[in-house]
Amino acid sequence: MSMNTAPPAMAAKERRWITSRPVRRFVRHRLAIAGLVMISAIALLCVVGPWMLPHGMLDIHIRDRFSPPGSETYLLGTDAMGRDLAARLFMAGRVSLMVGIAAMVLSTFLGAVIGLVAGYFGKVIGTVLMRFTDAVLCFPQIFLLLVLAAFLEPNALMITIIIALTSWMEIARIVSAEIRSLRERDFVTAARVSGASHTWIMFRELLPNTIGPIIVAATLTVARAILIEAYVSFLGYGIQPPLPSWGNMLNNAQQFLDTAPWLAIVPGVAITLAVTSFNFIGDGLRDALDARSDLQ
Amino acid sequence: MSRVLSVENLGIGFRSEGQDFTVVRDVSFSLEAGQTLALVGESGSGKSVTSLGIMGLLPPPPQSRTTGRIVLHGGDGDGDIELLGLPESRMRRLRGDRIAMIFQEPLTSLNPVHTIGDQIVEAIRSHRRVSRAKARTRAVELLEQVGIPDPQERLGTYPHELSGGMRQRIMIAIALALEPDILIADEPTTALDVTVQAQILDLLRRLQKDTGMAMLFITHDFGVVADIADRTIVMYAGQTVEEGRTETVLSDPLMPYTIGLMNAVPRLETAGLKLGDLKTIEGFVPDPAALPQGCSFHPRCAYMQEGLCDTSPPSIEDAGGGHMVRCKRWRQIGEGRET
Amino acid sequence: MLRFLTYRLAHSLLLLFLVSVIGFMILHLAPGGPLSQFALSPGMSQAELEKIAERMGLNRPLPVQYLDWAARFVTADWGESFRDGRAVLDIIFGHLFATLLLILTSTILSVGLGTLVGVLGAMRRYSAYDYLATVGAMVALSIPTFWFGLVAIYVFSLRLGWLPSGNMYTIGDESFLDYAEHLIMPSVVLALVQVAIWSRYMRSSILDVVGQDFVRTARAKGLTRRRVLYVHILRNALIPMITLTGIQLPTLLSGALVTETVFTWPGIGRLFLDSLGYNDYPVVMGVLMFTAMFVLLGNLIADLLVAGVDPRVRLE
Repeated sequence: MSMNTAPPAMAAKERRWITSRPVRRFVRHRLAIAGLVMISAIALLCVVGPWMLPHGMLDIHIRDRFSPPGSETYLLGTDAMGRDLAARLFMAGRVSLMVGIAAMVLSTFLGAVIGLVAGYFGKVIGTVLMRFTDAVLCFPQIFLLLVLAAFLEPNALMITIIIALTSWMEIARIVSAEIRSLRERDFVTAARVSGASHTWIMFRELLPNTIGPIIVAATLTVARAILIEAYVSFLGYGIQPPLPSWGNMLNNAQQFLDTAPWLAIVPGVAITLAVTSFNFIGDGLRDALDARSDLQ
Repeated sequence: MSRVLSVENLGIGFRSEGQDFTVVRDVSFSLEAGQTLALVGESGSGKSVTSLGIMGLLPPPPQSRTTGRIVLHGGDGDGDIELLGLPESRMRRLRGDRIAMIFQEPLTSLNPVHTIGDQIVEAIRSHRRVSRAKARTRAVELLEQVGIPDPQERLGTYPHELSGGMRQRIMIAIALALEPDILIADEPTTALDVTVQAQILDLLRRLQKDTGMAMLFITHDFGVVADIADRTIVMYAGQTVEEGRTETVLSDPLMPYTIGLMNAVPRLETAGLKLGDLKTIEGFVPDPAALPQGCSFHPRCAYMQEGLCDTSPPSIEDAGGGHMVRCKRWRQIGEGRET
Repeated sequence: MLRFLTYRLAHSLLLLFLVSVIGFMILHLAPGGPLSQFALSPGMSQAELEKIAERMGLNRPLPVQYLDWAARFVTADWGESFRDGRAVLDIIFGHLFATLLLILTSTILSVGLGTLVGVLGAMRRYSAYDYLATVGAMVALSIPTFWFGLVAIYVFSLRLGWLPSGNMYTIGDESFLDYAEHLIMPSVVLALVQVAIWSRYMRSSILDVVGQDFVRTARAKGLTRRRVLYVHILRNALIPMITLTGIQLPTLLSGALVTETVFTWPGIGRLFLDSLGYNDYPVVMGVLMFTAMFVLLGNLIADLLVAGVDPRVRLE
């Protein structure tokens, strides 16, 4: 058997798998489409928004401090230093979305590899890895994350890494469970008999078969990563000013809550909308990709 | 012999994802006290749905719709009751009291977190105003009746602590708790191994003799039919295709589907000797949403005649002495056997 | 049952060991490692630092240091706070009541409401209500808890003036009513996410049970709808929810930390953040280890409870 090409029957099956029912089901899922539209709009605004506004995100207009939303040239008002909230919001969106997505990629990779190895090598290695996963899960994520953020130098990259380090466990569990059930199937035995290496079997035969649950979990991980980044930055342990993020925009909002409530409301709404979008998309993907939902 | 239940022109359909399809069409039969009627067919033939329809356990409209008549005949002075369209509160009172039912999977049909004593007592007390102690005494009696040793102690055990055969006996005890007029048994022995199967059939026969209840016995196994049924109805794709006294149907089957099912029975003489003797009918029960034109069975039928069987649906005809057959070629099939 | 108990205990002990190893590794991540206490104080020379390191045994191999650290941990010697020199465990226990009060109130709230929402959703599956509950739960899961707290303070404290904006009680009052008044907002804010999670799981747990054969048996027996729901469906559907409560403990504690910061609630989360701000590492590490052990214990209790209510578990 050639090691470089998948059997044609399987390739054809995969193609059909991608173009048919799951995609139709996802499209039929109104919430998922709403989420997709919403997040696309947010992302577009964050990318082109700053160029379309009259003020830069760092321009200080001391006379216009605490302008409420809708006043003159300030679409969403200004903050305590008279900076345009809209400009900051869009720039912050770039940072928050990037951190969320990058943390997802990293933690998905970490979780998938750990789950794959644990599931494939069962017995000793698998048990040790999964017990380790369980042990990390015992630490409430935000406590663990804050300790790491306090001990390590916080910057955008480090925060991304720390979020990933504290959120790979769920994907590891999902993947390891899937792999364990797949491991004894005929196509794996066939590959093993034909002399395929462990790496080949793990990454070319097994991993593609768990892609559905991984995609779903990854989408929901973006949602959670955005929430976590916001909270950690809100507390001052995350993204550091002057680089804005949705979280650190809320940093000072609490003390001006009475006089300038929009400082708290605007970034919070942005976070909620973005996170809701990813949760909606994740829900749609679950319905589309989860074989079990066929039965319901 | 008194009639306890009449089913007339029963039709049952479901709606799923905006599509309607019919799974039971124009089925009629009646049950007599002390007698057993077998409903035979493969899975998907509509026999289980028929029984759930009688019990009023189908999902409510619009998810399902039932047409025709189901009449429960009064035993002592009560009038007849039309079950279709009966309000749920009245139907509930009949369920378990006058019509009881046992199921195929004794493993999953009992609630795992309640003791079997509680599950029997609950059945009694939801229909009769009796004390808990009295209900427990009755439960012990019932366990004895269905052949469970140490009934007093068994009351406190949980279903998973018992074997499959034992659990089915518990199910029977629950069903008999209120001495129903009718017992519907939906493949009660299918999940059990052969010796236990025989014991359960014996038990059911004995209990029927003692109580005089009517039984509607649903199965796909003609071996079981021969053992227990007085009359037999063979169902295919939601219709009655052959009906008659069990001896007649078994010794002189006229519908090709019945013949096929009978060939699929592993006979004890041949089992283990020659597996080749065990024939199955090729193909599958048709999708109720896409029934074939003409006779629903013709695509799988060994006796199919083009231009006859695939044009218009056959009607049900009397082959003599109440032996009903739904096949255009039953005469030829009958003659072929005699020569 | 005995085998099950032994197995669960052994499993928890193994996890405790792994948790402590992870804790030990994190401790060494701290700036200056275990020496940070002295490294941060001014006027400390390198030579002096090395002397201290020698005395603290920091030159020994790591496994030996771990055993030493673990031994002190087991004997409830969790070190002293840099700030006031009090024993770490004493400080933690001093803040435990506030956190327990908060998470218990919130859990009762969310279990009650979540069960109701979930059961109704399962009973009227695909109805407008069910759809609304599903979307509502997803939105609730998407709202940042700390921000929701800020909005609640803005509306109910600043604008309406109905509820206090923070703390657990008013100094000088401290009546039951006073506590209750302070408890309302934090516990509702913390419950938001929990209600969403509970209602979703409850709904799917109910749907799992409704499709099972024994429910059909219960109906065939002629039981009332009410009895089928309470005695047969709910009883079985709630069993996996006990396990879920255990699994959700870390999320609950994280939520408590968030809520405590917004409402200046004097619990463990607040203590943790304050200590973090003062680089009070013994307390920080103490709280971190405490929460992990709290989660571990919670899960063990949940497992034992499941064994108590589900007769099938006892034999396995």
